[in-house]
Amino acid sequence: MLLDTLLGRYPDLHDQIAPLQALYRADPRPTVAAIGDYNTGKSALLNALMERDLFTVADRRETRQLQTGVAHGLCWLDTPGLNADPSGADDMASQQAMAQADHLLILHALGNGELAPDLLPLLEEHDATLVLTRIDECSEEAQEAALATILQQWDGPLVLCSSTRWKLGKRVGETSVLASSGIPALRQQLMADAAGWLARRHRRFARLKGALEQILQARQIQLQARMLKAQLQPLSARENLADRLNQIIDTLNR
Amino acid sequence: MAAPLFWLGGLLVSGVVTYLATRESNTDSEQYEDPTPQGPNPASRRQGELMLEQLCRELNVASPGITTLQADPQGCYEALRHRIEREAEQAAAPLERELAQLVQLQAALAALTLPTRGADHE
Repeated sequence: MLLDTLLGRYPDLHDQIAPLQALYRADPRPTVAAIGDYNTGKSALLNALMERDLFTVADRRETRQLQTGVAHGLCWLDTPGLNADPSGADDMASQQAMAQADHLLILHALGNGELAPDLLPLLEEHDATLVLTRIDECSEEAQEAALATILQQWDGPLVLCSSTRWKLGKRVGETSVLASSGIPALRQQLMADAAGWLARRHRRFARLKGALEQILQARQIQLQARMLKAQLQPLSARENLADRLNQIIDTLNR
Repeated sequence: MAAPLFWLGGLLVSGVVTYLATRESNTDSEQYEDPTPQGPNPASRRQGELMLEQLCRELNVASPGITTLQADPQGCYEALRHRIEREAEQAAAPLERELAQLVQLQAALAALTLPTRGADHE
């Protein structure tokens, strides 16, 4: 593949080529990735949004690599928890998901209180929605206090979701319970927004490609200059070769 | 009267013999001191050698040596010129290849677009 060839040839351009590779390899559908600390309910939320039990849900560190699901015309990426793997491999998988996704769902368990400092840059630098999860696991007072703190940190898109409540609503067939889980509204919102994501992805790809093309153009000019120098050098050397040989012969005959 | 003449004649012969012997000895001595009276000055030879080495270093070619240069200056010039050209070709060849590859990659990159929606996995 062209981008692999380019990276093999110019490894110093990794930072310019890798994001292009990620976009090129991304699913052609609008893509959403769930990102967050370990055990914030990423897999459960995605299963609820997809309405399919595709990703394994567990209380332990279950997701260890990037996983993909397709539903409702969207591609859904489940990622390993942030900061859970000392080797950093899990975080690399999350980075990969962030590079491929058109929209990020940044998950934070409401009961954990304020947002971890490493989540804020993710929210600010990407097209992202903050999803507060596990809302059933704390009292109303604790919820309000945590929400007040979080709202001071982040004033962008924010939703409260409970995949437990959504499952319950599904089981009992109660629409009001389903609605109170926040899942249907979030799904609707994502599906509506997704219409513009692919056009934006193409624009991003074109912008990144343009930057890389400029660098390669500069390299081409440098290479042409080196070639010209290599071609001119022998011409000047040849020009005074006869004179210098004559000087040497004169010296020898002195 | 005859005796002094005899002695004078003997002295003359002896002097001539001695002179001839001395002259022969001097000629031998001169030949020993300068065995190559018709070659170039060694200092000039060394300087010429250094100049040729310097030139060849600058041109990045092997020195033909001053003996070859003196024996056939024109042939030496042609050989050096040929070597310079060959060296230049060799130096430019990888750059030419690299440039051709880069131009090819640039053309391919210019045509690269994101894949459109493929098979539906839903």
